[in-house]
Amino acid sequence: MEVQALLITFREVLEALLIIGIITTYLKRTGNPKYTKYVWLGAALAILASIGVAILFQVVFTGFAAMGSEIYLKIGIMIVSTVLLTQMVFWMASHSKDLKGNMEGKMNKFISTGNIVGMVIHSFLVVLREGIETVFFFAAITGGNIGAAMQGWGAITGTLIAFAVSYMFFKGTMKVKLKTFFQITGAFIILISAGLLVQAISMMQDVNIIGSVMYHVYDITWLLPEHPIDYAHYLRDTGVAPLISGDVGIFLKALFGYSSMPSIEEVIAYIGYFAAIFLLTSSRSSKKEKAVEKKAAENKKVVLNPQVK
Amino acid sequence: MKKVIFFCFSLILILINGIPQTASAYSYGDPNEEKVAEVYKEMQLKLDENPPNFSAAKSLFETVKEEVDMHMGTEPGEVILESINEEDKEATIQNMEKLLVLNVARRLESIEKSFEEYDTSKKLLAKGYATYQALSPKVEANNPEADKEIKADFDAALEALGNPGLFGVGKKPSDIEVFKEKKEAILNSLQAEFDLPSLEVGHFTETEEQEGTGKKDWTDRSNIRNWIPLILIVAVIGAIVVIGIKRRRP
Repeated sequence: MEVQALLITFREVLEALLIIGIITTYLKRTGNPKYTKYVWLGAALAILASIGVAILFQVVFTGFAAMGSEIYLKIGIMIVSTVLLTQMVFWMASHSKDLKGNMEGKMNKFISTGNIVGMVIHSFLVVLREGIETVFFFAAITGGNIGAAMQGWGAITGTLIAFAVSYMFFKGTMKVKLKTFFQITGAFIILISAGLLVQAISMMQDVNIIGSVMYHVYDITWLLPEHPIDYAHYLRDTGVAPLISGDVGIFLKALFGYSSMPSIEEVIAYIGYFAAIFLLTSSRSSKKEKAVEKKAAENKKVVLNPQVK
Repeated sequence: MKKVIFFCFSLILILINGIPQTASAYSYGDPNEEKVAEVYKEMQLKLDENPPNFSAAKSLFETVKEEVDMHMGTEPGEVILESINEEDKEATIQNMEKLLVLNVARRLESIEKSFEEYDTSKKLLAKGYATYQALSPKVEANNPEADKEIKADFDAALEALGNPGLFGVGKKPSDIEVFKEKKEAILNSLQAEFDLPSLEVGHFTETEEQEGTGKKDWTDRSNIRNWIPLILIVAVIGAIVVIGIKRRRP
């Protein structure tokens, strides 16, 4: 159990620190480190809120009628996370395009009160999501005794390792161009976000909130089941083991939202999500690039002897 | 050097996402929903159509038959399919009800094996209760007192599971003896209400506690509700494409 707790906290804390790291890096690089403390405040409040949620599910929502609330909360969190992460992708895409070389001083114009509030809310919700996920995973590995998983050495060690890894990573990236940094982390965020979106659709179909006209577009469980349970079920039902382990499936599920038997809605939403993100970010940038070019042309006309530093 | 850092970070992210989670974290199904009971409810709707839609009822039943065969032996499934093939609506519904009683028994029996696993026991009891809820209207119509008692017994059984609490908050001790007592009371009432000679529920497999994925196999395309998500998704993507193209134009 301790090793499982270690792996879970490591994964969840690192994911949260990735997003917080992007925000704080942005603040530091734009010369606004004074706002960093608010981002961390948001994160700290989210940890308290996660503990509150744990108590809610462990102690309050235990009657038959309330038991299903867990899954509705998960779906809600997934949808909110998808929206937030998508918004973050656009934010990063628009800002990275505006960055030319080392002209970071001009970034100050992007910092407004609204931005700061948004970043604090962002960090709060991101940490809250990871915190709640941790709570549910802990409930699963301990058979319902969440406190037991928190008290062992595993959870603490996992958290410490995650902090150490992200510290080393972000210390390294401080030297990397902000544009490159945003592009790479942005790609990760799009993948995570698309995966969350289809998982939310899949969950809503599982609990019958929404229907489907085709629950399985295809079924490739024989090749690569999406989870060790599906692997075991397939083996039990057919007597033949699938070609690839369910452990690989769960890895692809977490990273790309893979499903061995997706519904038609999942397939269309997944492909559509990437198409939409591509279309919106590229159309935005082409518009902005044109505007920048136009502005540059105008400046050339006015300023005859531009100062060269 | 910078590229190396990015590569290392990417690798770490990929690896941590690759860590297999535990089985129970995966069950997406609503704990308050039991697949057999849901199939029974949908079958009822199909059989209430005029004329009764036996082929839809059969397709619905076939989505759970494998599970039923595995947990309760092949006999109940065969009897139900026979009554569907004979197009006997009453017999089909009655046999399904008996199957649900067997399912309640199966769920309650499983709890004793994992009594200390609070989370699993709680979910299994919820599944048992969800199964009973499909039967409850019938019990209530025939014997309102029995229905009330059974529901109270389920609540008492849930209480008997206790609660490990969180850091001492909300801690409650469990009591297996009380649980066994309530289980017997529930099963005896159901056996009497549905006139079952025995609650021998066939063989139990070792994978008893492992829930299915909750993935559905059958859908009703004539129901407009099932088309709504697809229409919405396509509409949203369509709207984005239109906006995107408009923006690209100078």
